[in-house]
Amino acid sequence: MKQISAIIWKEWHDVRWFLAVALLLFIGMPVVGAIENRFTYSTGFDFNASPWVIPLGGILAILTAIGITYSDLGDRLEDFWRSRAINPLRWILIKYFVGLGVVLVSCIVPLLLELRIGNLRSTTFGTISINNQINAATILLFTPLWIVLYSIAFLCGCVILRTAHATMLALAGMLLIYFLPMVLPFMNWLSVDAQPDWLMNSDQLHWLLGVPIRLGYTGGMLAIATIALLLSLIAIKRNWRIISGTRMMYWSIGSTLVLLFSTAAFQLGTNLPVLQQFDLPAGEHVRLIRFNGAHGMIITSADPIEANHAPQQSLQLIDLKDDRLTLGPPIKLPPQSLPFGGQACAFRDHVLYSVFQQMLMDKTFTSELRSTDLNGSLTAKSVTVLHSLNPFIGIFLRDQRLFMLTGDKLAIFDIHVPSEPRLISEEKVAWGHVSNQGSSYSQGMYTKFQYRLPLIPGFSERELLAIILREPPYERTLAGNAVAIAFEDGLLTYKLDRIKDGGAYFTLAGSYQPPSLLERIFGNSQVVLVGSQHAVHASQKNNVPGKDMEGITVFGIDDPAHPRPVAHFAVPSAHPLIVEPLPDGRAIVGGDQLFLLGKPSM
Amino acid sequence: MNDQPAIEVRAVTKSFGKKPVLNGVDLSVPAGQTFAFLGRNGAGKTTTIRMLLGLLKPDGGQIRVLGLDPAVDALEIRRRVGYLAEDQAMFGWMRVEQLLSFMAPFYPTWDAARARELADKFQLPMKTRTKHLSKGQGVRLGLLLALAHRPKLVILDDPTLGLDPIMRKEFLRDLVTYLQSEQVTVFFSSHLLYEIEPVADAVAILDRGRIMRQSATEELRQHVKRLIVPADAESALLGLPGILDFVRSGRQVSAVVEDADAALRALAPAGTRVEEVDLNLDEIFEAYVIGNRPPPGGRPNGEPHLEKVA
Repeated sequence: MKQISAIIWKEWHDVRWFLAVALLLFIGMPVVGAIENRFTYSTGFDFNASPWVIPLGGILAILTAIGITYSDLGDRLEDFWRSRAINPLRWILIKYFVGLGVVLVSCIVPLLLELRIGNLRSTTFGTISINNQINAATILLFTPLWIVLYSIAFLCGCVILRTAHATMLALAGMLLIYFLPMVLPFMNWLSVDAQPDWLMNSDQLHWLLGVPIRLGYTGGMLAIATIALLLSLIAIKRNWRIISGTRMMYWSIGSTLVLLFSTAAFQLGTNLPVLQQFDLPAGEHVRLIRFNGAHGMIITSADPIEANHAPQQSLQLIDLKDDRLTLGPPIKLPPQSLPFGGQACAFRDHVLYSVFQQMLMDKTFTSELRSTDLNGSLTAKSVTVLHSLNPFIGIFLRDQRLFMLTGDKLAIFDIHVPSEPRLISEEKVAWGHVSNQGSSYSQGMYTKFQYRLPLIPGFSERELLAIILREPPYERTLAGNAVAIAFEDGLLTYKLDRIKDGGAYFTLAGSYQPPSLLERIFGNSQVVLVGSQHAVHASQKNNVPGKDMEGITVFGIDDPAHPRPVAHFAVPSAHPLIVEPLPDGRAIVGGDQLFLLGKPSM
Repeated sequence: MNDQPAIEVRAVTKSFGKKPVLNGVDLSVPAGQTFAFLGRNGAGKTTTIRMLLGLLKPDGGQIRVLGLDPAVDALEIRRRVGYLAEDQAMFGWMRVEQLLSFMAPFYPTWDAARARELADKFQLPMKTRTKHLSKGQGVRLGLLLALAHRPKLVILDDPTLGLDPIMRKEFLRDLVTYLQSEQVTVFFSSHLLYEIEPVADAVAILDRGRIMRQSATEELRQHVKRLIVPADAESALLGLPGILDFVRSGRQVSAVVEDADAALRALAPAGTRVEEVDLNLDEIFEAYVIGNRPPPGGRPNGEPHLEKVA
């Protein structure tokens, strides 16, 4: 037996049980699950190792590193091998790589098995292909994380004399490695969780686009691992040891938690300033805000008393004078004034709103334009518009004209008598999201896309682009020459390449994952709205135990390639926040209350 | 026999934090000798040995082991030196034969036949895991590991610590049988002097980080003796140089002196009746380490540490 073989043999003996347990867990449990599914649901052999490997791989890395170091780096046994003709650096290096090999084999082999079995599987549930949960990109993303966690734990094992303390410190290190890059924006590139989702897309284009990101992330992680390994070697060579005590452990772990939570608290501390706050009647929440910079309205909705009961809706006019927002008295609207998808605008002493009425047998839709005065009296006249495609209904005003844009129609109303809107033209228009380059991974996720604009007399192409972008279903924000797309797990920015001949052409510029620690820990993010000139306002739902929190993150997109959060606003609310940005950067925000928020300091 | 000392230590100092452990240690161990390195617990013996093996670096001074600097050639020194530490731990899960196979590649001079021979001699169960060996078997296995690569120098750091008297005797028998016959230099650190006395060619006494005395064992016994004189000759006795221990006992006073011949010559002109008592290594060590010494040119301070009867 040669020296290297002897050391490998010895180290293998020390860690083989970790491999056995890990494989039992990471392969055995998915096999049990697959067998159970096969007999219970008559599915194929659904081998899903990733739900085990992804969350537990880091823990395995830490335990393996501590396990492989503690056996030889304790007092008398260390004296024994150190006093032999054994090169300690060679010993530690081999020890490191044997342990690392066990971690990587334990984690990667089950994932490769899942990948292989998933790829072999054709269809599982009828025509719906439940393809492999995992892909090569995921393995590439997590492998550096496991290497880093293993390396840090290895360093702790080499330096900290007590095993329990070394383990606790390694776990604290894991928290830092996982959460710190997540909560500190300038470190996002090192966060496994803040990597853009499209990085997981396995098509060639996304694969190539992801190379620089992967290189940066992997390089950074491997650099951390290398530093940890070098420190381990130096510690062994110089026999550096920390004789840890309980007090030291409390300080170390306490400091880690304080660091993490203070960073998260910093985010909350950067809440946008509340300039004004209005309470709503109990049980009511803001349903819609429309504002033109000086005047507007809010529509509030009461929680339904019983199921299928139409909620009572109210309207309040709002005005902004001398930087103060004033609310008019609430006006009760007729039942079902503004069901889902409806839009509204205020004109003189009337409110005009669209109501999606029904879907007909031939799959066409009918929508109505209604009008009500400020006493809440429904005008007798309503106008019905037939349209097909999606039931999008956007309404906007200009020069006593109301424009109702549906999926395939543009209806123009004369509203100089607002109680009696009169349909003056109705024509088919083709507009919307018409082409993409690059396949999508999640909704709205393209490397390039194009909008065809509805050509409406009196509106510039840019105005029309802004109008169609901000309304459902797009909920996108044009800011300068960039458009920000908020989707459920983050933000994408696209550069407007050109706008010409009824077409607006965009190219993917950058992306951002909401990094708030609290958001990550406590809830699912759901971006619901829109933005202003230099920032995008997005609302996220955070399910904090015991209290529903709603939040807004304001993103600076002046550099579209690097969108960054610049401010936050979080408030207890049982309903999603509605955001109406003002041209100067302030915003009117409605949830269970109504707020006028100051502009973010960018 | 090589003229170069197996171990050469010059003015070595070492502190741990603010606590000085070695304070200018000088030591020279001739090749081929069995050298007893004596000192109380905490005197700095293990620290010195760890520096000899390159496990610690001295703060000052020079060390040469088999002509090599441990700070530079630690690995080479460990290849050439056999080392058995006090209460030595080994990889408990390994069987004896596995441990031997594991250690062999690290020593170019590993002699597998000799290892087997020693295992037989020491009656070591080859299939037993080392954690299941008895204390005595563990020490013997440690000795085997220290000898199987035919080292030029064997360093033993209190190897019999924790063994019962029978085991200690057996161990020393093995040591005498297998080390001295091989002309190997043995550096034997211990505080159990009676067990080392029969085998030590030379001794060095370390106390509070300093070497108090280094000499051949026989020479030490010849020179260091207790002299007993009547009480009225106390002042003459106190005037002698090199008093290590001074005791008043009734009508007599006694002193342990470093050079008995010189002391007797100094006392002869006065016609003082002197009783000369030989000391064993244990007593000599005690005199050096905890002896009640008079200050230069004066009387001893206070009472002696030990009331001795000549």
